[in-house]
Amino acid sequence: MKTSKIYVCAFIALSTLGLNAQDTHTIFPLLPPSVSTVPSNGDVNPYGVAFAPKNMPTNGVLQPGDILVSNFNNSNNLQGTGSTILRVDKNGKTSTFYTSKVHGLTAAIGILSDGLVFLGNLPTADGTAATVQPGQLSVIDPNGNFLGTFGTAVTIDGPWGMAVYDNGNGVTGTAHIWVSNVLNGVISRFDVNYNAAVVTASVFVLAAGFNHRTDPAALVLGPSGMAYSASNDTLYVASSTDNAVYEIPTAATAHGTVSASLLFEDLTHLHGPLDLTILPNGHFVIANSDGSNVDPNQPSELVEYMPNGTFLNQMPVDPNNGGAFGVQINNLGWGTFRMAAVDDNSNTLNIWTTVAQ
Amino acid sequence: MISKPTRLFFATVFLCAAAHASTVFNFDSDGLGTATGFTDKVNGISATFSSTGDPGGFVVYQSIFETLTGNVLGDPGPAGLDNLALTINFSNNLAAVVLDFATADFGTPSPFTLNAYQNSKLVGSATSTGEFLNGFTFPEGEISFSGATFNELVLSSTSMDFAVDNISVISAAPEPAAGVLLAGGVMILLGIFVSNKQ
Repeated sequence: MKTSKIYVCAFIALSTLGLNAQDTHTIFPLLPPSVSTVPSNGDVNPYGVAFAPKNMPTNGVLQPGDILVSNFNNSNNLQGTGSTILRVDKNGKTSTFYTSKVHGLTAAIGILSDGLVFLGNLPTADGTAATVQPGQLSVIDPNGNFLGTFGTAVTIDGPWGMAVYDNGNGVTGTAHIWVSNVLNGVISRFDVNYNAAVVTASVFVLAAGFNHRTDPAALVLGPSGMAYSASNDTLYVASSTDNAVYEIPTAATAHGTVSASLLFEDLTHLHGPLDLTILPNGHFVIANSDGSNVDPNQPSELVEYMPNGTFLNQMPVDPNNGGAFGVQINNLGWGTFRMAAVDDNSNTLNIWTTVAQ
Repeated sequence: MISKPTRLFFATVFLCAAAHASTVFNFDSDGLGTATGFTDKVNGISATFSSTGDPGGFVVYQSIFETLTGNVLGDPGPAGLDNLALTINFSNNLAAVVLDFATADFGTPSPFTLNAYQNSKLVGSATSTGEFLNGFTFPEGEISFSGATFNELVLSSTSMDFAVDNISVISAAPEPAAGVLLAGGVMILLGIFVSNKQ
């Protein structure tokens, strides 16, 4: 009887302190700092990275916060022949999310709030620049099923990088999807409408004239990774040919082709920049593919710049050249973010969680 | 025998206290990790905090701000969602509210909006923008509303996330404690009036 009273008193005391209402989510298991990106079919050379939106539905295979990684090479390490998207879940467990009938999956990968995946590819017949093809822009559902394609011969010609600005609520929405085309130097904008039943898109050339070329080692060079800033309606484009970053104003509001201008060129720290992302504090992080302006003393660098293009710092993801390709962040709020970057040399995805100041 | 000036002084103090009696929701008695929806009760007034991202749209955590102190309520909560509005439903009709907020901006501070409702009908709104304070990372500000009776607030910002604290409300009808103060003040004044008559 006495003991019961003590329990009741203890319960009341804990309730008063609010302890019974506390969140019971555990922090474990922590996401491992690095996972292999090699799927069961042996594809290698991971390129694109995309985070699944936080507000996407949870009734499919793809879950909020998952990371998708696209593979560019097949198991024979031939460029433009990879066909798989790897899924990394919140515990770091990997699985093959999608196996494509078209090959050479690039860094042009993005996910809408309803879980639709937009994916570009640039195939080759034999892994060489002599056989590159224009590729396509595919749409895949959250269960890894192919739905169809978007684009025209001009707006999809070697889709190499992608940026997404989505106002969707997890079921319906509108989104802008920008695609950089490395075979014709064009940046396309797809204006997408989607709901539970249908997805539609219109497309036009937002900017053109970016330098581009094929390369015996890097395969192709040109407009690559992109990031969109809603605060100034500007699209930023990394050029692996010019070792520079360009800006395109009115990127979401323009209704026709606009001019891109040089934001900064940096022949000291940029070495074939392939992907680009914007941190919560507005800084850029750029991944150097080392496909041009290569420097053996600065291999596979992730480079941080201030919004005006002032160099801040850099960090290699691999001790050898040619390792850094896709890099993206997932903003967790109040400056905290998760950053994922591939290492093409070790075929791994590195994952960090840190705070921008 | 208490002198007349002293009685007058106490009457004034009681009446002023009654006029300014407010109730403050500051989350300091909520456990860290308490997530929406939940209800806090202070001075007989209940406030229920909720969002479209519930369960877990907003969460109570320790302040990283200057003007928001102790525990604060902000997003993202355990649900991991951003760009949410915070709804507060009160058990009483209220006449005024003032609260502190912070927005998750590194650059230009985003506007913070308060919409006031009486039985689901919009009765007024206010907008405020925070300022960066020395030594602190995120902009902080204060927002207030009065001029119409309300029993629901919807707080939102164009910033990805925000936090609130020190939600001070004044009842449209005097609260019990304020009523006691008011009655005390009136009785003293009546006493002074009667003694003057005699």
